[in-house]
Amino acid sequence: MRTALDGNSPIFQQVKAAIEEDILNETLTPDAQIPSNRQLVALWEVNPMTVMKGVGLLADEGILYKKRGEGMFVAPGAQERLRKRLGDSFRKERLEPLVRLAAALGIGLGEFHAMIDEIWPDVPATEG
Amino acid sequence: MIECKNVTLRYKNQLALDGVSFTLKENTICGVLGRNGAGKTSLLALLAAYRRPTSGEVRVFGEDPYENPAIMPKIAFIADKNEENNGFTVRDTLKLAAAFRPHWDEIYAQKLVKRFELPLKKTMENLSHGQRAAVRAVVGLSSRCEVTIYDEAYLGMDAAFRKRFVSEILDDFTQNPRTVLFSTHYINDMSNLFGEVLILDKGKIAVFDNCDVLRQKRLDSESPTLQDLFIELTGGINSER
Repeated sequence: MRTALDGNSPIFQQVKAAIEEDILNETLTPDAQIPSNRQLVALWEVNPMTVMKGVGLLADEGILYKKRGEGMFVAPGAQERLRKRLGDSFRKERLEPLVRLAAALGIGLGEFHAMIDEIWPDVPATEG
Repeated sequence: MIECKNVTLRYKNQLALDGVSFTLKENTICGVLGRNGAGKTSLLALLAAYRRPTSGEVRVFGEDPYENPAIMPKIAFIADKNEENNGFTVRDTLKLAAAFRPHWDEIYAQKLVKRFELPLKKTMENLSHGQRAAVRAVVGLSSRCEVTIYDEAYLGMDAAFRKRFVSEILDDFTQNPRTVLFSTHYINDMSNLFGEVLILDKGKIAVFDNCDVLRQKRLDSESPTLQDLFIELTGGINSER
């Protein structure tokens, strides 16, 4: 788990993102228990209500599930769903504006593809 | 659950609070920020039933707290200094607090005394500033009051003590949600603690909002932190480091 929340966005979103990050990088695997609210509050020294809100939103989205009296656990398939969601938002929020910009600048599809092919091998940790 | 309606507090020829209105829901940690003389202590003293407003209404649990025997035991007010030159030892001070507090948690108090390394047999005036502040913190935490008000309660504590104090407030709150008001100069250290924040400027409320809502609103600005907002509104930094 990330040891500090130091972004400027709302804390509950940072709480949510930190847990999502651990599910995505498989620090937290399906059916693994996430740290208790009390542990997360102690780790990050943040308002307990806002931790509960972040964790609660992940439960509402079905990324986490609750076992009564035990705590919160990672739902099976959570990683895939987070990946899909990140992929969707990457496409919508990042890629689409970029493609629009390329078109506006008169960069053709072939040229755009060639640029990506050129950059791709230089980026670490990309596969295929 | 804590409500101020158009509250004004006037000392002889000085207006300490000027038309203050807000409603704070229960079970939250509310930061009360403001420069020196902005009215923080005046406001907290009204909520703690130490004073009565010149005009307007103060309601805690729906009632006027002033000299109200049903409400006063539910409110703990931890000031930045108390009368502490009475020859009392740390142990006496805690016993006295316990006598006035219906929910006093003696086991927790003893645990905190160890955590803050407090010498029980020493008299209060022979403690360091940080130790005296720690005794007040122990009183505030162990009282387990529905409403706990800390007025600059960590002043004099070193960084290690402040960290312990903050972690105890959070841990206690997680297990026993209550309403905590916390006035502070240490905005950057403390800003993640708060659910709500109330910024006072010259006796008026400059901002009263949920911290995450404020963060969202200011996310795209060049100065997104609570401290930036504070400086913008009040013209002061006020961090006494």
